[in-house]
Amino acid sequence: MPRKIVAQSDAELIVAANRGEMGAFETLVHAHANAVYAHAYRFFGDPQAAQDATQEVWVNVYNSLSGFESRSAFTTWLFRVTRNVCLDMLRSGRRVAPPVDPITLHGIAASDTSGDAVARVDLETALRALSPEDRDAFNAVALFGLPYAEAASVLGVPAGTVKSRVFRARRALVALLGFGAKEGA
Amino acid sequence: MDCLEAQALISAAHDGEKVEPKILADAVAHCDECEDCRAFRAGLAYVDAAPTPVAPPAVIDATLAAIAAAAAERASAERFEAMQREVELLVAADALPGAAETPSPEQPAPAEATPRPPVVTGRPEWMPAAPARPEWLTGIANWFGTLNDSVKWAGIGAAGALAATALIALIVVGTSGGPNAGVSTTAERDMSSQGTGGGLSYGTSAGAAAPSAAANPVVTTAPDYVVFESRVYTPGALLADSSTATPTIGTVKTAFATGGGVQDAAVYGSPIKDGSIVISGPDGFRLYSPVVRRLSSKRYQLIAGNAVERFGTWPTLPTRFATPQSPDGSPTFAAAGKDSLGVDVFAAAGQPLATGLAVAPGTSASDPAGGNPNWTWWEPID
Repeated sequence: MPRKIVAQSDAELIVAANRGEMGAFETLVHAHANAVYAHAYRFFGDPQAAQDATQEVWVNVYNSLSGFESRSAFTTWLFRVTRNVCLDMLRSGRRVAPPVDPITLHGIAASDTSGDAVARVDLETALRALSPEDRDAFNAVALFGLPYAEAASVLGVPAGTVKSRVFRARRALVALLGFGAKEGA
Repeated sequence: MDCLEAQALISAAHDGEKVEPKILADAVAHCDECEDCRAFRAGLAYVDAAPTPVAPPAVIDATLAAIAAAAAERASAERFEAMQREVELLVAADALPGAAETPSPEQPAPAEATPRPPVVTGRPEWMPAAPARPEWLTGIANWFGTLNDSVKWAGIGAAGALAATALIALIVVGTSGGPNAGVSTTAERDMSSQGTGGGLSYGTSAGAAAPSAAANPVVTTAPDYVVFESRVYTPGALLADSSTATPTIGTVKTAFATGGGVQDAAVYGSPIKDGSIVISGPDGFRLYSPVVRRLSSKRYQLIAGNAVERFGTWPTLPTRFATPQSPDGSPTFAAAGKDSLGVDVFAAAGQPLATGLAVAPGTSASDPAGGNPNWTWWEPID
């Protein structure tokens, strides 16, 4: 009989992975690798650094998975690990995150462009012009799908602060991409 | 309602935060009439729809390889801990007075009225140096010295039996398909090769320098393999299923872990596009991942030349290949470099690696072929 196969939830995959089923862990990797990679890419602005960070994050997750107690969502924990790995790589001097001057970005008009590739370049460049705090909050919500309260627990700030940072990030992005909203208005 | 308030409300609602419907409606109404807020909404939609960076397949492959290396490191650490436990047991026996008092050939031991129990005389050469003896052990040894001889020998016998029991337990755990299945114990390293045809057998040339075949190959029970269309898979996550789509793509013959008869199990396409398949088994629908090794970022899947219908069966070379007569692969294969794990790989004579590669037996326990006493054949999966 034809059947549609639906993957298990993160929690079920973690249980299976902790039983030693490598296939379950690989499923977790496939499901969330893009979020990890995207955060690292936005953090460093460099695909090689993003690759290194992605590997390090997943090895850390693999080594610590048995200690994950499911008190929070897996994605919350994964965001925490990802953020810490990127910060550690930066602090240790293994990687640098060159700043982007927002002033040089004004004039990029997303509405004048067409095609995903162009849009991606513009958005990614604009994202790197955000303050690290705003970008972290934005990534937690937009890439990892965390609610404000979960993001707040990782970032160590009140949920209201996450809300403000995400909003500020959005306004800045909209302005940098030339949609007409005035930052700080 | 001003622009900042309206936009903040729309941003929060966009993220799934609870916003009172009446207030949200006011915000939307404001945005409909305000040029700046309309622009904000358009920008929000644009940012939301813009593609995010996607991890290239090579990054996923490299990540999975790094995890495999971490898993191997963990297995190695667990093996070392098990070995340390062996050492501690033997050191405990070695520490007992009289344990090392073996008679020299020049001075035969005096005849005794009753036969002595077997004596553990010290650690074997392959074991690392013993850790420092703890004070409590010295205390026990001193106390032991105060006992009379018959009691001492009874104690030594008991210690020897305990050490032997521990060694047997370690061997059983390592070969029973339990949590350490696929992880060789030190005892297993001394085992001769086993398995079905094509095993390691080079006659007098076994001691010759081999590219990767060790003199004493690690031989363990095979993992839980199934073979579909000659390709080897290993079980992964259990999946939920619903009643539509995804037709069967074939069947595999396997007894699963039931220990019962071999059955035809339905195979389905996988929701994960990594070469995996889904098999309907006794516990439901389970993902089966291909057994792969990597060379220059390309994945090669293990190919079985035999019917692997029961867990614990090692795949053999496809029958079109004659088993090499030498560790250098000749005359069937020729050395062709190393894979991502640094293992020597061989090409079929006269064929490029793009058609497949062979690996000699004797690879480490962490290798995807680790423990297999046979030469193995791998074909591109992507």
